[in-house]
Amino acid sequence: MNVAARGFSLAMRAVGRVSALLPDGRHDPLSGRPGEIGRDIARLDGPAKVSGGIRYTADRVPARLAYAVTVPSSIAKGRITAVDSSRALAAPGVVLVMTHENAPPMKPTGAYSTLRSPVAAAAMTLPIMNTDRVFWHGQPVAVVVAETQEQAEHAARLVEVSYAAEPAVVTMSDEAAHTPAHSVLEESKTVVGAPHAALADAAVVVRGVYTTPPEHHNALELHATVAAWDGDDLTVHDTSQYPYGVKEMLAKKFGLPPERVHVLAPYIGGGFGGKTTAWPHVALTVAAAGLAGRPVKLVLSRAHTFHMTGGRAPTRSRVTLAADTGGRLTAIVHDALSTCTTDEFAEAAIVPSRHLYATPNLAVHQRVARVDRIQNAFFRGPGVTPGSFALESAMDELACRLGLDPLELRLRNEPARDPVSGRRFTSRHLREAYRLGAEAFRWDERSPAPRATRDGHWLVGQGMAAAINPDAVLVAAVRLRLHADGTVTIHSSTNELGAGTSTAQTQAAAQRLGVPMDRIRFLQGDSDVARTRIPGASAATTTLASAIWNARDRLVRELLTLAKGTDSPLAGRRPDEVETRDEGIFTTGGRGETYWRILERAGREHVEVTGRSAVPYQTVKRGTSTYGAHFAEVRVDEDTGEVRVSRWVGAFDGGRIVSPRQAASQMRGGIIQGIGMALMEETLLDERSGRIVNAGLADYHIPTHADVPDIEVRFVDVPDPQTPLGAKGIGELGIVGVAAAIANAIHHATGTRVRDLPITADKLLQHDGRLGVR
Amino acid sequence: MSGHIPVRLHVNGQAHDLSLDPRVTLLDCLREHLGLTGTKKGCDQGACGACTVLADGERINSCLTPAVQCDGMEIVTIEAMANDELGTRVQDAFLAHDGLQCGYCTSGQICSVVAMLAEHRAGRPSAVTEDLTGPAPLTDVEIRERMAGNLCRCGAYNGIVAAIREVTRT
Repeated sequence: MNVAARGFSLAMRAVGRVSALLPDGRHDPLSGRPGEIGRDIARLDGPAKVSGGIRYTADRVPARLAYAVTVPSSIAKGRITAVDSSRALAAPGVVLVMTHENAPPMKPTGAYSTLRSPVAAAAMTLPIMNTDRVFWHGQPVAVVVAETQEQAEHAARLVEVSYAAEPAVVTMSDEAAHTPAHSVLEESKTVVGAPHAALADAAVVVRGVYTTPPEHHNALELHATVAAWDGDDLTVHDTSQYPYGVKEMLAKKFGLPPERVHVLAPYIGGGFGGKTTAWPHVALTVAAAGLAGRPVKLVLSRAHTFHMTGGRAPTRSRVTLAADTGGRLTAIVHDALSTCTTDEFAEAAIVPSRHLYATPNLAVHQRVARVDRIQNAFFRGPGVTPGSFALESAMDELACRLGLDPLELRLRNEPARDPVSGRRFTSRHLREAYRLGAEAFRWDERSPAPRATRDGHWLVGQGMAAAINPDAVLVAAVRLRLHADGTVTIHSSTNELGAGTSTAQTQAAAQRLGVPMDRIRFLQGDSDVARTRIPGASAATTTLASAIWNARDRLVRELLTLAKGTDSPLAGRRPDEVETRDEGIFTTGGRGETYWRILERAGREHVEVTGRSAVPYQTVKRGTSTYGAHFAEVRVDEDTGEVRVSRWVGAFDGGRIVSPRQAASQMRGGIIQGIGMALMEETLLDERSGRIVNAGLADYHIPTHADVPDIEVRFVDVPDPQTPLGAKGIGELGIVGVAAAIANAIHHATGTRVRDLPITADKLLQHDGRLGVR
Repeated sequence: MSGHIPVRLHVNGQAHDLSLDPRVTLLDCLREHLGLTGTKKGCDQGACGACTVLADGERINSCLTPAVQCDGMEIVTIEAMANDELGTRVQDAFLAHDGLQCGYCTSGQICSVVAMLAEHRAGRPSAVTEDLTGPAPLTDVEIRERMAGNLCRCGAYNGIVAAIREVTRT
């Protein structure tokens, strides 16, 4: 099978397992049409959020609640030889201590990240607390339940665990590496043309090794679970990005019919991928609530979010680029290494190198090395985010070598078709993003030579980088109910992470149905609604829009059936003869009536339909991505090596923008996380023990107000002809390429290239003989 | 209960006579004992600012403050901001400038803004104030420095700064 066909078959397998296909040629009639979609409005849940009125998971305090605290392992690998809970049990207020000796059996589940078992949301397949084995440093080995949080925290320190430690591998090495079965839904190894021959013949070759460290999501909301059993019914409030997945996972683990498990997660305090999968504490809280016979709340401490939830795996990329003297790429070679656990999820840094630039010769190879650490997780732009640091730094190095403007180099290598599959794009407006961004940034005023601009003791430089992120429509169902009182409710099991999903969907539904926004209520985060598999992947906007589109079609059929044989002007009309607008159904000739009139005549209080998403055939056949361009200015202190980001413009092709204010905030959020990645974020390990040594926000630094300049965001805002609403998912795109834009700007400011993130002052001083010696 | 300490807290204008385990932080007291869950726990170590409340008008990290230490103090939380003229203007400005995404840090940010503006009005300098002899204008650099104790992982900083600019202009 050729490369394109093999990639297509992988994608089809993933889609076919989970969803229906939207037939070719069926385009969304709303795409590009003016109305509520694209209107600049404030987020609808804003008033509740600014008054502290939103209830997040940990805000739940059910009657008879007990509090749980986890005990982390103090070795990275080995066996628990003994647990002495006697002192903990004797402490005031302690209800129970759960260990592997008394925990109820929890059936193993597939780990979501492997994609072997997409029904399971468990983060890992390991039998945590049903085994005496220890798999990583910080693994929960006991759960203490007490009457109060303070009592539980105290008693957790009294649990004495003895271990037989075994040698553990906690750092990435080539010796332990293998090629994973797939890399973010694509192949792990691809060769096009004859890349190594092309390298030998090339006019210009640049080579670099680029590394990114382990990182943690650090959503401000701590992971929390509140579990309550009522007979065989289990109700769980959980900080999950994927409530339906948690429901399926818990049903399987505890041998319950899924309909007895109710997972509620309407509002999440940030996720960024870290709450996509359910980490072990979720099932452990449920087990503890069962043992205690009362509701139990477990809120991971900030330190425990580092120990007991996974982050982004470290990556090392060897990138070689070859070009002719005109700056046209003749080869891209990208070998990447990352870490994984028994659940083989690769942080596939090779992904952007497959899709960003035209090249006749290409070789990418992703490998992973198994480590004795917590399972690594999805984190905003899996693969593309660290991979773009490597590729986009290398492109800058190539531009410097060629004496070519880095933007011009990218324009000369903008492909007309996907460089690997040869397929056309559903839409790709990266050229326009480059133009918008460069214009707003005044890129043409940049002096080409590095270390040419100084402002007192600050060296000033500008850099740029491109961004790409794959886009997909996933599986969702919504329950849409039309009420006789003139309102509409839309229920979904997806939830609001802060992206503005509920606002965007209300805008889209208002235009789809022709009903004013203030009469639509979007209710979310209830796993009982219907099968919905949107664990993240920037897919909520288009997937939910697809499901609501389908619900609208079903609603029209229902209402026309009600109108049949009556005096309604719609009697005998077919669905393809009518449109939905002005709170009702009308023929193109203008005959029709309101929804409410149809319900009234039929004597109905409401009509309810379920709509399901469908994947547009062309988005699978061709592949759909989002694109962007970052333009950054930095100031580097000549004496201390301190880096300040002083100016930023990001321009993006995310298809049609549904809710502009929220969309711009999303992009800024990604850029700011990228600033953190570039300059400060790193989960530091004690390499002897596997212990995370900076497990807290005082030591793991994320950007704060003082680190962030005004960020200008531009959108191309052209509909993709193949996607629902013409939109594409933009949740992850903002972070991609940011670290490279900063590294490139630092090079322009100082003449020094740092290829190892984060770019801290010590690295700059070490690499740059002129910094810090004035 | 043995070891518990009696304490009188004035929260949002209402007096509460409580008997508390001395380990209970003001944050957990508000959330778990008084049902005021608008104040959030983001780190429990004073590093993120999500738990910011006003105590006798000063912004504090309620996670670092034992509740029994607040005996007799006037505590103001996000739940009371709508009763405050400045608080309401800050809330409205956050909405207009999209100074929030997930909303989890928002309560702390808003309480922090209200106290920060009072600190500035009182002429207190920040780490970036260059001229310590007179009132410093509330520039963007000053705002960003003075708000640096409130983290937002979603990255709503631009909107928050814009909201503060608007409030100080009016």
